[in-house]
Amino acid sequence: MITINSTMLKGLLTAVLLLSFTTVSAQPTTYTGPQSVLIKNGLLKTITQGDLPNTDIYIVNGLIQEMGPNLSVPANVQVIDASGKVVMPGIIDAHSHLNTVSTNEATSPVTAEITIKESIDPNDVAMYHALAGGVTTINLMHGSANVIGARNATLKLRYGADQFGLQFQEAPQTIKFALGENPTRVHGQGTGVQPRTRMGVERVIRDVFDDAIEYNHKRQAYLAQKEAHERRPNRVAPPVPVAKNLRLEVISDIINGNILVHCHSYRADEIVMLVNVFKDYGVENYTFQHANEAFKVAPELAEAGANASVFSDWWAYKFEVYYSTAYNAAILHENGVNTSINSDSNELIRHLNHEAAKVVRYGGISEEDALAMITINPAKQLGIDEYVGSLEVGKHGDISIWSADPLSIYAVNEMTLVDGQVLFNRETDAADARLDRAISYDQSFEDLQSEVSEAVRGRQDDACMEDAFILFESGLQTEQTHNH
Amino acid sequence: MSRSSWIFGFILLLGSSFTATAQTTLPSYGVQGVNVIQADGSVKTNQTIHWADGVIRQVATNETLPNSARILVDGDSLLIIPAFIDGFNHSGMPDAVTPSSYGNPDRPSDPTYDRAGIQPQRLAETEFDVSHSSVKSLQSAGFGAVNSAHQGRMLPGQSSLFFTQAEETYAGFESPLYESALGYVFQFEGAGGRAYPSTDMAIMARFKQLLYDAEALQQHIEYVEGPGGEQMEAPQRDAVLESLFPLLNGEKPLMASVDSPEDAERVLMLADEFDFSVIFATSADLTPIASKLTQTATPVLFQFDEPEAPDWIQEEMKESSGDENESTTEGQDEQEDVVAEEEAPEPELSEEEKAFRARQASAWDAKKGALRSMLDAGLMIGAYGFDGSVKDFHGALQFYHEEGGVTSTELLNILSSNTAMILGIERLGTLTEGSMANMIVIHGQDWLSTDSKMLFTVSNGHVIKIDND
Repeated sequence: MITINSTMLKGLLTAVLLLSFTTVSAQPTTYTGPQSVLIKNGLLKTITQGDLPNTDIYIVNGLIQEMGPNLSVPANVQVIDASGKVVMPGIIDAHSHLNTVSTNEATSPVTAEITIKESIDPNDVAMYHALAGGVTTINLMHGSANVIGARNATLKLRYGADQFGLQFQEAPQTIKFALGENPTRVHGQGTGVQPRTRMGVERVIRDVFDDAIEYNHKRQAYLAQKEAHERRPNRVAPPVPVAKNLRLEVISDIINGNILVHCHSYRADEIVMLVNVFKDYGVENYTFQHANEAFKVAPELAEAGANASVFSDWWAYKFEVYYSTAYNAAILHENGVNTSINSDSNELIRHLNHEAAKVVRYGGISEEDALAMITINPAKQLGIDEYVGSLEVGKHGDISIWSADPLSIYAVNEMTLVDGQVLFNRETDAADARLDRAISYDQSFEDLQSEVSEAVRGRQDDACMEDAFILFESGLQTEQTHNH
Repeated sequence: MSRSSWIFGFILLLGSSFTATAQTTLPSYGVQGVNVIQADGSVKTNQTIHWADGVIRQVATNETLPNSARILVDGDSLLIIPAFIDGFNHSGMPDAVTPSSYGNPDRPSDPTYDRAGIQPQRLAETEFDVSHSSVKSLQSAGFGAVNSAHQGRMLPGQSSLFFTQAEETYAGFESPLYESALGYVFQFEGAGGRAYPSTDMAIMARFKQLLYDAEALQQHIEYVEGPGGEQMEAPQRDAVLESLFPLLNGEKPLMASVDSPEDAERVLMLADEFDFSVIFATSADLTPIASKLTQTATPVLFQFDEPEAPDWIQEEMKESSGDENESTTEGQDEQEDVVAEEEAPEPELSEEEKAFRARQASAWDAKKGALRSMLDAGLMIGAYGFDGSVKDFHGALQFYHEEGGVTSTELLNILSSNTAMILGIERLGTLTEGSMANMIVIHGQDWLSTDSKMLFTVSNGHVIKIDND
């Protein structure tokens, strides 16, 4: 006689449950491509053209086609009712390490040959967390271990796309520089190579710029003679080849204005130093990142046409950042410096609206200017203001929809669209927002929980010095400090 | 004495006499009356195979062997299949030098080639040891050939194809090398410690710069030898850069070991820029980038590891199989045990953990189905990386067959002719006249069945008796 006991029943039940689970996809909405959508009757914060109450915004194939009251659209177009809501352009974070595979190649003071575009993790759930905060574009940066770090990657948070699909194709190339304590500590103090001091930092930049100019002359002369020799081999002598040098080609592109510099910096003296170096080499349109003492030299920055991308009120995490003020952004702004508020943190990126609001609270700037600091201003710093950063016809359909004025502490981002596709919707927000392809078959629940808990705390290991300390843990660099 | 046990006695006798012979010419052997399964799954009964000097001379039906040939086995209970080929491994090679033993370079940004792990000039045959225990393991698992390379970091060397057995003479082993320098091993392994490159993105950049430097050197050498070159300064020779010329010229592939589709895409970016071909070695599921692989005719060597189910699935499987036992053998004592278990029920799972398990179960299914999925996507799949015990290897094959839905013919194909094709070795992976005499002799009718027993691996005509104990 076959008896069925409760343990057996449990096993059977589990088997049935497992079967049914496998047919359910818990994956959140993933990016499929540009879409058409009508967002009806919202209060539009256009950023560049003031507020438009009770206005529709019609996005066709990912681009804003029309804005106005009571727009009529084809019947098959998806409609989002934004009555009573605030519609603004997607937030842009000009300083992030959100989903890098590795952040710092901390073995060399100059690593311009490297690109973060080859270090993008397209599976990181952190992108979804940022979307939940209304962010649609980030500057995915190399860390601050090197005087000249790697080239950065401007990403659109097309959650679910691969490492190529995430890239903001129209964005110009940018590169990370870093001054002060981080590069001098990693290289001078860490491995005994230049730079050990702030003077050394300047020397490293000037030397490699000079090398690049010399290289460029030699390389161009070689290529010209090579071509001539190949055309008339018996008349023109063959040239001694000058190998393509990736690092120096990138530096040449900086000098030629094809690559925009984003420079990690804190102190006023080092900020002015770089302004002077760039004046000597004719480099323009660059951005100081962090720049906590930039307010002291705001007129000089304005004159040089430099930008600043700063924290609203975060400082004193190491010696060179003791002197700062919550008025930094406001002072820079009042002096005519194009200023943005950034996160440099996987936690802060989720509420950049609050960070912008603090500039109003402390510095008394207008709400419109504060919102510009997380939209059009960072777009200008990344060279993408032609495409994003404001609600204008022809720009990308990158939108966030808020329950109230986004500068209010009570406002909640309810929906985020990229290229017209809703990628975050608070109403249908998946409990587990990881991509299917990011699920590990052998990770334990406990490990995942601690990973999530770390992500929620956010500020620990997502800073500028990630990887640098792992690399140098056997040396002097073991102190656990905050390391932007 | 029954016929089969007679054959076994004969086999054992032969097997023991084959080891440690010291001849300089390879003996002529044969099998007769056996069943032969080719890599494509076709079966022929009552076959005779004769080989001499490491080459198959005859494959025929109902033929008798020449008088000069030693009969290795005879009988219809025996099965011959092509020997397996390990498409990429470090078998027979010395252990890698660990980065900490290198020390840190004075200029971390510019370490020597060796310190950076850039050693593409190293050919495996300079250090391959056929008597190494890792090669013996390959023999026991049915591998007749291995594409082996140095261990190391970013570019540890060029791989070469070796037989897994060679004749031992008074002067040492004869060379088991079949073909030298099949491809360049590449992996995302930084230099280690304080030395460039330390990250994947820096490895990408370093690799590009190496090829730019090699390009310039090759150009310089060409110019010196061409019109007007007699006046030129001599190029600065560089063995590392010069060893990369065949890669640069698209003559040899990069054998890239990768852990994820994203890493594979990064390697394809390099291949696209420099126009060389790639062979991937991975245990990851590359189905997400299948179209990119088929478009570029890029093959994949798959590692037959045996992945372990998440703990909670294992426990559930154990429980359900335990229950089956209970239902057939239960007695009074066991009933009491069950009652005891019921008294301490496991805590109810949270909704969160239930959801976690549901998604993990799907991920586990995907892992099990990875090979099937890549085959269905039309990828060219071979095998690589046998590492460990024979038991584990056969367990892994069983796993992909039973849990992963891959047929035994597909597995055989992957392990033999596909791998040979991927490596560009025409005379391995099939049992036809003129092929190299690499085969496995099995007692049983289904080579994959756990009831069957591998008796001999034949590599380059050498007969290796497999110790099944």
